[in-house]
Amino acid sequence: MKISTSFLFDRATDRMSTIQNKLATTQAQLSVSKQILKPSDAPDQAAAIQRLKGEVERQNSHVRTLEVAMRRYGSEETVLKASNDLLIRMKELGLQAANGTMGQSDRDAVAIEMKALRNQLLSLGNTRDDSGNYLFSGTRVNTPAFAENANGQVVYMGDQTQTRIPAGVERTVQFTRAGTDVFSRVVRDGQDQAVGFFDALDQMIEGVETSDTTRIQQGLADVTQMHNNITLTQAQNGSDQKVVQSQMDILDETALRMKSTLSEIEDLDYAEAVTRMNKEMMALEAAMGSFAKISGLSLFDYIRG
Amino acid sequence: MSDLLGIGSSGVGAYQRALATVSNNIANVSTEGYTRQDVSLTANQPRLMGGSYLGTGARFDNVQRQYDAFVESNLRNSNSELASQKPLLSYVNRLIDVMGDESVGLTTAVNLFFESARDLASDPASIVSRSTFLRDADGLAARFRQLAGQFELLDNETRQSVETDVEQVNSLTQQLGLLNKQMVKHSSASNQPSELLDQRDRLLRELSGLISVKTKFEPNGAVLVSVGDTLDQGILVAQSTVRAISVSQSRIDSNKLEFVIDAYANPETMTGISTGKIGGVMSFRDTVLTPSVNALDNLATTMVNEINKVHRGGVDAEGLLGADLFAFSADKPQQAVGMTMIVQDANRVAAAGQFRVIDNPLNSGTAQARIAYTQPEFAGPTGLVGDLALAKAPQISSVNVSMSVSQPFASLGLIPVGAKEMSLTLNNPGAGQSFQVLSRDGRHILGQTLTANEQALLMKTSNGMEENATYSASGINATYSASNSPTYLDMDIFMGAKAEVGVQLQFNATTGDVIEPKKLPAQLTGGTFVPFNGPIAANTFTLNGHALPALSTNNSLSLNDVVSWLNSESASTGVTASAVNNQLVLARPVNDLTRDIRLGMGSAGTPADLKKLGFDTRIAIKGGTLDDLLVFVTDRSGAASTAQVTAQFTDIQGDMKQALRRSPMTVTFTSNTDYTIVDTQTNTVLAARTLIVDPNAPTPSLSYRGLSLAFSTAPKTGDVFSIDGNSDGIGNNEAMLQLVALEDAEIMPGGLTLSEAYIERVNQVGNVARQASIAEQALSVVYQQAQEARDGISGVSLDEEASALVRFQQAYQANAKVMQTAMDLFQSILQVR
Repeated sequence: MKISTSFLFDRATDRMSTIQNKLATTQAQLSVSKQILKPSDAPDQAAAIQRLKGEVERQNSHVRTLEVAMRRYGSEETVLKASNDLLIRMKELGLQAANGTMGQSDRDAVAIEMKALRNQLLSLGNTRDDSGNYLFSGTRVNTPAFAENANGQVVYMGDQTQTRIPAGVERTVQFTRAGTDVFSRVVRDGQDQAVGFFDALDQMIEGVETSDTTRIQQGLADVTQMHNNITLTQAQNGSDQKVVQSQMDILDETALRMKSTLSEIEDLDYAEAVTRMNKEMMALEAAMGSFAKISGLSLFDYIRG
Repeated sequence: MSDLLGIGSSGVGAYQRALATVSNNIANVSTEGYTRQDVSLTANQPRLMGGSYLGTGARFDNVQRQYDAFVESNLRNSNSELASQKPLLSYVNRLIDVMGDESVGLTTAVNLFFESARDLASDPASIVSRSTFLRDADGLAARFRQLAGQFELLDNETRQSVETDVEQVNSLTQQLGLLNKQMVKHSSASNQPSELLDQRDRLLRELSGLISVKTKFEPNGAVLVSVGDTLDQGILVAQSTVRAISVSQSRIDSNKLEFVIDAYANPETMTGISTGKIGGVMSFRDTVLTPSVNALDNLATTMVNEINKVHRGGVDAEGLLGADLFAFSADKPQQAVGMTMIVQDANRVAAAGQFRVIDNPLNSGTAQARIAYTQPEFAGPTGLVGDLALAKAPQISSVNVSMSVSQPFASLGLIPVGAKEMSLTLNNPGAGQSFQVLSRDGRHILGQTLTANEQALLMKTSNGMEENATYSASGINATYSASNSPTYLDMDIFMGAKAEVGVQLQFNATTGDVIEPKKLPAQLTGGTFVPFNGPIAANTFTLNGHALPALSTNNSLSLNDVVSWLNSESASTGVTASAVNNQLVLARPVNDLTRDIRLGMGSAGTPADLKKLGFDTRIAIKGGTLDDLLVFVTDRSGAASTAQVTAQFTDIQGDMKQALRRSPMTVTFTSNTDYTIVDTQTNTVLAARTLIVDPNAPTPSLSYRGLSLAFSTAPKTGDVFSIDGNSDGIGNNEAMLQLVALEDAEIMPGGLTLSEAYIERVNQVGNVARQASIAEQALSVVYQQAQEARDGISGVSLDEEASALVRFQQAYQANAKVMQTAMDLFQSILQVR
């Protein structure tokens, strides 16, 4: 078969530029340490990469949401613990005041401390979270949860809407805790209507001020109920935190698994790439060298006029 | 000896030409489309001398093109096929680079949108989260537009490419036509100048790169070119006739391009172009680009609809109902390129749910309630029966309904919530006939207190009642008053004969403009009065809320008797009666331009009694209805009868959900299982029911007009739950949660989520790219082989030419030597002395 001169040159140029292209790609891959530089490099993988990247981002976003929940639970925990301590002190004072040997002036002193404790509890009820939202107002987050009306009676201003937030695929966690669930009403034996948290405290303080032992006793029972309730809420808070923490661990693990899959598809195997580059450089050198030699051959050189 | 000279000189001549041919080959070594030429030499005619023939030398016969028609056509075909893959591959790669790119592709923007929705769900009150959400929503719309813009760019580019290439085809066929014309000079191809044929082949090869062609060569080398399936159709060049291809946008689908041959003389539509560069570009447009554009538009449409639906179902930071979040620009409906985000104010982001329940802090039970709204599906009517439903003013419609002894009632369907200025008239009522209007919860609003038997017949879910509705006639036929009305939901709803304050249109006498209409006192006119026998019992009629006393006579009552009876009560009713044209007319005083006239039935009256005074019984509801109202006609006559009912209303606006949002209510447990639902604003008891015990549900729940309350545990006596339209619960994230749930909702065809649908499209484009790349590699090999084959025959090899050069040079020199020898011989003869 005859090889025409132009064919020889064209083919050699083609081949060299092919190798050169490959070499440039390998070099670009090495410089960004990615196997796939643009979607068209691996059109069949483009969809998978997009899916995985989206999935990783979603896991991260879920983690972010859970971190918000964790911070909130943390704030709640602080309030719950402080309230718990205050109620214990309240109970101690109640017991002191219930002591029949106590004089009125001593009881007055006790009442003053109790009032201070009650006010502290009220301000704990109106704690804000780090976004400035009232923790215990339900969804009325811009309204303080508890406010005193004209009669000095403490009224709950929030609502009971329980919001949940997404915490992963097909999973939500409870987010808000209504103030009335924390500073909850007390139900007294044999009474149809419950008594509000602060109303019960006020009644107890009044009992101490007026040395009304029945009221003080009732107050002690109420405080015990409040204390139990707060302890229960603390337990719920703890278990919520645990759920969220374990959900975060799951998400982290999922994200890690996806990242490693993504890396397998997308990231560069350096050893392979360097070897490939050396091979391609050799091939290019050989092609150039041999072409220089072959194209230098011409019968005309041998014809001496 | 002259022979010797002749022979030598013939050889010199022949080889001179041979050398020239070789030189020409060498000179054209790089000429595109040049076909190597070879010389053929022939021996001259021998001459008979003595008994034998003597050779007379050689002569140059002709120049031959080194050409193989089969190889050439093979090259053309493989060129067509390769040329079709190249643009397909490069455009598909560009498309996938756009679609798969992180900064232009859709996936990142969709993810970002849902991520900020999720962030907003975890802090709905935050203005920062709201702004971020809006920014990312805007980003999503912008990404759709950008992507659509990139598609449009590809569309324009490929269209222009096709147009340019078609121009190119036309110019090539033009040239071929000219060549054919030049070839007419010779009858055989071998006589044609080699360059002419080279040019023909070069043009054909160029043509085949653009569009695949069929060729047929005439004996003289002229070519017939066709782009059809056979050589009879789609002819572009025949002899010197050339037919141009023109390209235009399809009138049916502007995305499609149509090709017509010879559009202005003898038009022939082409079915499509599938090979060559044009074919490649067209197949990119038809199989990749257009489906991708459509898929993007579908995605945008679904996304906008679904997101808007959720957003409209939410409540914003100011307690207002959410509006659409996205829209399409008016000139580009349902197209990704026209998608915009239209909410500007972060407070307008509707993150909250439309309903809220608050349990009273002093409830003794520990039940917490959760609220949800789902479109209710009541059995029974959804509107007024038959033509009555069409009676929107100015239309007036009537129906006839029948009642039997066993079924002494007929349902007229229901007046839906939001019906405006509804009027239903019972024409010529029979003796026992009456309207009955009830709510879905058995609150009897108008009519006659139902008997136990009637209750059993009417209080059924198949008539539109709530499942556990109970009957109550308290407040039946209550008289409306402007403030604190005792009527159901304070609606101005009345049954009887009613006349409004009259209105007379007025025009300015000089300008003809409409001016403030003139008011006329209300006036109620009855039909022709027919005397009837007394007595009229006390409280048969009420006039403007005043129960009329008895008219105790057993005699026949004339119109004047009735008029004077009515006028005796004028002081209490505020109405004067008169007899005009044998008709009873009731009128307000001339100076009373505000009050209407209501002639109703008291507890002793029936529509048939009202008819005796000349009036049909009408249900008139002023303003809009605030609840669904079930309407029946009952007959207590104990016989079968027919009733004719006429209706008219001005409009039906609004829905139950919005009506519920506007009216807060409280659910109060009167026992551990019984509860009442009371409208807070009007203090109307809406329902009194008992909890339905569902053995399959661990905790109790109740529903009212689609609102459902689910309790965490059984409520206790005295527990109160308030429901409202959530106008200030800005920490509520219900709507946002629904929006977030859209991310995983399989709402695209094929059970795909929004981003999956997009990724699937990327995948499909990726597959085309992969196939095109494989095909391109294979076809490259085929093309190279064809080229190699062609070059093996027609290409110029310098080495070959060098050897030919040497060969011909030596032959030339040898022939010259022959001539020299002849001269030497001649000299030898001359020297003989």
